[in-house]
Amino acid sequence: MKRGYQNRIELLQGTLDLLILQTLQWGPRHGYGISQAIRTGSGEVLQVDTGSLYPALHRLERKKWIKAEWTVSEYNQQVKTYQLTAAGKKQLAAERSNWKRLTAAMAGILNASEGA
Amino acid sequence: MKFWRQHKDEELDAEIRSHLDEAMHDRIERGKSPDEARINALREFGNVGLVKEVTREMWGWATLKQVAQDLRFGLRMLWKNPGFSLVAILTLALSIGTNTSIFSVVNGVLLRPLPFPDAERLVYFESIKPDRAISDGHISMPDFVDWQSQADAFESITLIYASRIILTGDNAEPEFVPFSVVPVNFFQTMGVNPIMGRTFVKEDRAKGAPPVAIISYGLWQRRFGANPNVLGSPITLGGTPCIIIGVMPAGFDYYPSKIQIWVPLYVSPSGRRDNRFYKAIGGSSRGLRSLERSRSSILSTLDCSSSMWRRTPGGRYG
Repeated sequence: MKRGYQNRIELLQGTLDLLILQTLQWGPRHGYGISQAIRTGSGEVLQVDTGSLYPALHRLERKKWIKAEWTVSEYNQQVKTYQLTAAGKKQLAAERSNWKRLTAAMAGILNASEGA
Repeated sequence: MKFWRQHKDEELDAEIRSHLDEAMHDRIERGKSPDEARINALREFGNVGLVKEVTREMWGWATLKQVAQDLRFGLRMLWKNPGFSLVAILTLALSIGTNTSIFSVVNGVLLRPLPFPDAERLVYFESIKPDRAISDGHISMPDFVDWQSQADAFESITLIYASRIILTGDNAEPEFVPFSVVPVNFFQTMGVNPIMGRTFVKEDRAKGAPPVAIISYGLWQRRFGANPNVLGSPITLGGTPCIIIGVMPAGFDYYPSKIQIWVPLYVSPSGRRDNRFYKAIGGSSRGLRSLERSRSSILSTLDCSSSMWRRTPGGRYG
């Protein structure tokens, strides 16, 4: 599929972490799989740069929120697959509630300026 | 550490390769030709080297490699600017050299402890003329005789007189060595025993007694080749033949110059009181604090006519 240059939305580091953790909630995935999942899950809006994705994955692995192992993919290749750890699940819950508070606050300000 | 890093590098390589493979296979599934699939996958991925580098930074080891890189860059820049580099290097060399020499002197003189056992109990006497700012440590023979009888605070008081003298004899070249004339109780006061032979006794300084000398460890090694039978050998000091009666242990020397040989001092109450050649050292059995406390009583005991003595604890000169 040939795509023209697309305006890639800059994702804040914390936001990307949240997306990765969320994606892994539904089961282990490898790096390519995660980027695909985020792309399709966001309706092609969020396309994560590999230059952001892989550092994020390795950082999350260092923080022990995800762990990696080498498995075989559906194409019979060796792939490094990531999955959530118990700590990662807790972190995901915390970040989700943070996000909710943040977006509620944003909505409050944005809507208030409309109404008044 | 290096192998672990290598392992991580290889793992990262494999991970990225597998990413590209998966992306390629996805495209092939969707009907692309293998070549086109591979090219597109690579294009979508981005700059492989760059991605690897930013990922590696997450590992926290990049700092060392970065330091090495910065170092190399710095060296290149120095090489490119020879004039500046030369000036900078010379300045550094000069300052380091100066600092080192100053430190070695200070270390030798002030910081190194005296090579005597229990140096804390040795006291170095000084007399200060009240009208002068300079302190002069020297006393005369009659002073010494008086002090010996009067100072109960100290187990013993002794003198040193350092100078240089010419050594000749025993088929070696004449040497001009630092030497010291000391009273009989000197070695006792210092608390050091010879490794060979004996120290001086009263008989040695009696009139008509054969002249004797004690040599230092360094002299023994150097001039006598550490000969175990050196005791009784003759040595000529300033034209006077002496017999060696003892060898002091290594390291038994003191500032300012390393004394190589000792001869006995003839102590007599005669002699001028203002001929101040000698420096006095007192050895006390008491500790430093008790000496401090009894300072005034010591002062009054020692009849120093126009001088006042200031106590300087053993372990430091001056």
